[in-house]
Amino acid sequence: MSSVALRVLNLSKRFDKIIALNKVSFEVREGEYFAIIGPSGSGKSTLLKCIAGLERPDSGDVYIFGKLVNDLPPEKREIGLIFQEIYLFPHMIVKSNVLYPAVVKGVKSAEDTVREILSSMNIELRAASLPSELSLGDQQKASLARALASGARLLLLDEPFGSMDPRTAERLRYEVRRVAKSLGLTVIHVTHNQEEAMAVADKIAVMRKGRIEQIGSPLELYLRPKSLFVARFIGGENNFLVGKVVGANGDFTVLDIGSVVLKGWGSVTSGLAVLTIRPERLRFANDGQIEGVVDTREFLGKTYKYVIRLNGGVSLIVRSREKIEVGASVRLTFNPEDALVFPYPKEGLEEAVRYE
Amino acid sequence: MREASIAVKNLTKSYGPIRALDGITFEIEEGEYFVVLGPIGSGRSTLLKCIAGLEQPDSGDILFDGVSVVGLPPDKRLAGYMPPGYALFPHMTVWENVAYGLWIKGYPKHEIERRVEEALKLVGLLHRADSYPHQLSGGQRQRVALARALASGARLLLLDEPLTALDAVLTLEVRREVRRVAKSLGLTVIHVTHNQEEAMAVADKIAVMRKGRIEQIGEPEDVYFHPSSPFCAKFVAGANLLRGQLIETYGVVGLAKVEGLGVVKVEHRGLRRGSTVLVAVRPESVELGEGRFRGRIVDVSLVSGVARVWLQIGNLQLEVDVEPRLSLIAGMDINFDLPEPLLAFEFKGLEEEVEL
Repeated sequence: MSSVALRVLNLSKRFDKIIALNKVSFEVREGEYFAIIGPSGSGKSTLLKCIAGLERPDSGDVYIFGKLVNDLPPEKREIGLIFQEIYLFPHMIVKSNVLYPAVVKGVKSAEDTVREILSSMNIELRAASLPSELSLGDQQKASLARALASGARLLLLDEPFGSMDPRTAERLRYEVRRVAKSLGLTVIHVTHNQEEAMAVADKIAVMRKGRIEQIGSPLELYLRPKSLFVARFIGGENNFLVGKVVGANGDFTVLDIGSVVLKGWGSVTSGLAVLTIRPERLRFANDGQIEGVVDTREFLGKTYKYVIRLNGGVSLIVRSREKIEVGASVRLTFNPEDALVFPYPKEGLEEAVRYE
Repeated sequence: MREASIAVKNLTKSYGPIRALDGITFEIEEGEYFVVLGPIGSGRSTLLKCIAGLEQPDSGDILFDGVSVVGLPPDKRLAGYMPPGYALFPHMTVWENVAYGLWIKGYPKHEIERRVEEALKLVGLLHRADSYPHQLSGGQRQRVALARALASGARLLLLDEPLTALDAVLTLEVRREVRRVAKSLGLTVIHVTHNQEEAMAVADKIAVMRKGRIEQIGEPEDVYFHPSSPFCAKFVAGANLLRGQLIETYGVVGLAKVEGLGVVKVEHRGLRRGSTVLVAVRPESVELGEGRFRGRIVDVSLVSGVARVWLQIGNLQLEVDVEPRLSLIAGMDINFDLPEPLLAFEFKGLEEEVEL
């Protein structure tokens, strides 16, 4: 069993009347790629700053590799920090930039390490270039290389690809994961971009309003979200159907959405409930219980994406390999285990899933 | 047959030793949504600029409704060009930016108001009409630029990477809207992008460009399921390209021995026995769970509701896309099946064929 690289215990932080962090606790294992995601204002950046020592929490503890670091300044915490803005010395070539903190700290054989790191990130040919001669992607690689060369075993990334075009960001995110994994580093990666986190993280903490809403692997968050917010925020498009609970059956709840009665996983005993079902879990079937009409179709390559209009005005998004013409009447079905049922939120559905 | 609204004939354009356009020929029908799909440096933006009148081709012809427009300045071509940047006037409000072109052309006030309002509504920014560009996010600025092109009244819309600055959710919305508006107004659209899913989703027809040439033109499904080259298979459908030897042929089908995998049935275009081939395997066409092949799951990544699985089979690595499920665990051995016959292409040197 690997050891714990980071332990955050009951961390709280207030800015005036705003509660940025509300008793946040979690652990990250050594070698894990851990993402913290959430909409802006959810507290994720404050959390990272508290871990880095750039912000002082009001209460709570931070342990890095078993050591309590509450009173240590950032440079004593053995962490590598990467931000969206890239801080390289403009007058130094890449190699000197990367070597700098290692030399300052007196890290031995830094030259060899740097060569290795630059080569593993495919920028060794840029070692003698000035930062201004590099693309944004390569500049960010250089600052990453610098963090690695300093000997840090815990990397904190705050929106590291925020200033890049999506294509560069996409390429780089896999590269960062690859390098971190090959060197056995622990990474804490803060981003507002759930797709980025889902693609590279081993584990993800979803934050909302200063709290951690759920921690899990990307697959767990996608398939078993614990709240409507996570169901909406994670994994792209999702379907939400509101209905009245008309029955329960063990772990399953039956609800009437007006035009049809549906069954899903989760126990809500009475009142209103919300059923969520992913677009790719809905199937066209002649004996399907849901009736509708094909409103739009898009070819996405792997699948077609449909918007199906049901009687009563509700629409469903469906992804399927089957090709069906726009305007056709169709029937849909799904496996009740793939649908999750949540109690209807007090604040209303829209507010419960809002993230902008 | 209806007259083509746009015809491009044997267009060439060089910048010094670089041939940006190397004999481009195609026709677009009136009202067609035509997407030029290609990687950076393939010549797609140069092509668009030549059509817009912002670049002069070295040779060849461009016809609008049968009349050559080479030599006509941009404003005489009835084309609305939207560059990849935003190019908004910083001192004008959103409303003024969108209305500007219409003022210049002397449209009556009520017509300007109607068009600007409709265009802003389409991009979801009517409520920001009085804002200045610097008060908007990058995505919002891109949408203003789009609204401006839509409002200009052009019959031909030339869009250069119109969606790159938008986040995933907005991209889905805006691309659907752009197509809907273009179709409802009967506009002809040439839309340049590097994003295959975007191309598939909006296009009536796609031209795949590479190194100044068009590799394939066809409807999205055609190009996706019947690529004309390994490049198209890889760039459009993200296909795995496996190197093998054609050991048996019967007309256009045969058997290929793929290193690491074994013998598979293939379909080819009249290759000789003994030829070295590239066998294309689309990631989502692989059946995971049972089948006559066996591999090890190296990594799993979740992107837009699809689980990307890296399978290791000896020295071979396959990228496979399946529905997300919790049983996908790195390190696990699993059986799989391939949809034979697979497409096989003549191997002309890996560098040449598949560099993207």
